[in-house]
Amino acid sequence: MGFDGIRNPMLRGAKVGLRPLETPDIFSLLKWFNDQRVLEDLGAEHIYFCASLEEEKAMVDKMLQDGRSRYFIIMKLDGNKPIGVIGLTNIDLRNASSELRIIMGEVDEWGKGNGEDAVRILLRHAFDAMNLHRVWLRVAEYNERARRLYARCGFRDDGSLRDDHFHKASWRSARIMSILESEWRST
Amino acid sequence: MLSGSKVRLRAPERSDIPLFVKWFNDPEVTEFLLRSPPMGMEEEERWFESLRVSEGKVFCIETLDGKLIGNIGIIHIDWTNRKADIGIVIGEKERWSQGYGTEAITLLLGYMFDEMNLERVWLYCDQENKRAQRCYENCGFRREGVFRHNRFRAGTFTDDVVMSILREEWVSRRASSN
Repeated sequence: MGFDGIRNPMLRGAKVGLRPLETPDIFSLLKWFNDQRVLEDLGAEHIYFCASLEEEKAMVDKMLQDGRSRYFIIMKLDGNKPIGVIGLTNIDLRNASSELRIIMGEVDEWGKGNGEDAVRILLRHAFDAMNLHRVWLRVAEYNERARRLYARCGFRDDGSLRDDHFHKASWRSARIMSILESEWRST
Repeated sequence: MLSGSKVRLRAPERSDIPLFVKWFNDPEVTEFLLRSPPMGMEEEERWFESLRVSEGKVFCIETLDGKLIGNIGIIHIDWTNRKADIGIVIGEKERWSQGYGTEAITLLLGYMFDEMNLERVWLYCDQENKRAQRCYENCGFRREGVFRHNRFRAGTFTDDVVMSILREEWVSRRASSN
């Protein structure tokens, strides 16, 4: 738990740790964003089904320069291996709210509680260190595994974005879920 | 625009600059400020330009009949720790000690606590500036400490008084004034 300092700047949980995104991570992201199984349920955020190294580089540059976002690489503590990316984006400091996004890139590491651990670590950081009031997220309605995970972490359903995106030959809806600081503290 | 019973707060405009220059070239006005004469027009224009990218926010204090008498501003905003510091000048000397500054600060405090959702508003002022300290106390600020030798004035280092008001203090003042 906690922060290990300069030599190992990581927010730690039981299974994974979060460390800041760095430019060399483009190689991990390139692999993850070219894996159809990873992109499948993300809610059609990506225009294409693949990304080149140059495109990935441009995306990471943008992520690192965006003052309203904070991204972390999810490291499997056992073996110190990158397995995904998580972040707070659309950070609105005045209203103390932010959007959570997570992508579990290593398919072999799915179903082991790594994502839930990462979300819980990030919520602790959002509420205890960043003093946020609300963390929200958008999730594809048909991504029931993710919705259950968020519910276990304390997120509640805010409502629906009807026909939010086009996927597998039809319009699909998304859900907005959120957790408030007081709710997080009482769990 | 924020309005009270004596003054309102509005955004500064380029056409206000000559009046600012007049104030900041008056040694009586600047005695306890962190800037001293002489102040040039172009210097003040550069300051005005810098406002657009500054993290803080400056407001003009205007009487209800439209006379510009001073400025008030939020200097730094720390959103994570929910705090900010403020500064004020009443540049028109004939308006001193008549409650204009008190009302301008109270209007700004209302915005900072009730709209910006801050926890703490603080300021520091020259230890010898008793008039200002009385005004801040009337607004609900409490003296909390001293910044030693925090400014160089009239050839010597002097101490500053640090004052602050917390959200809970603002809320109970507002409740008792209603």
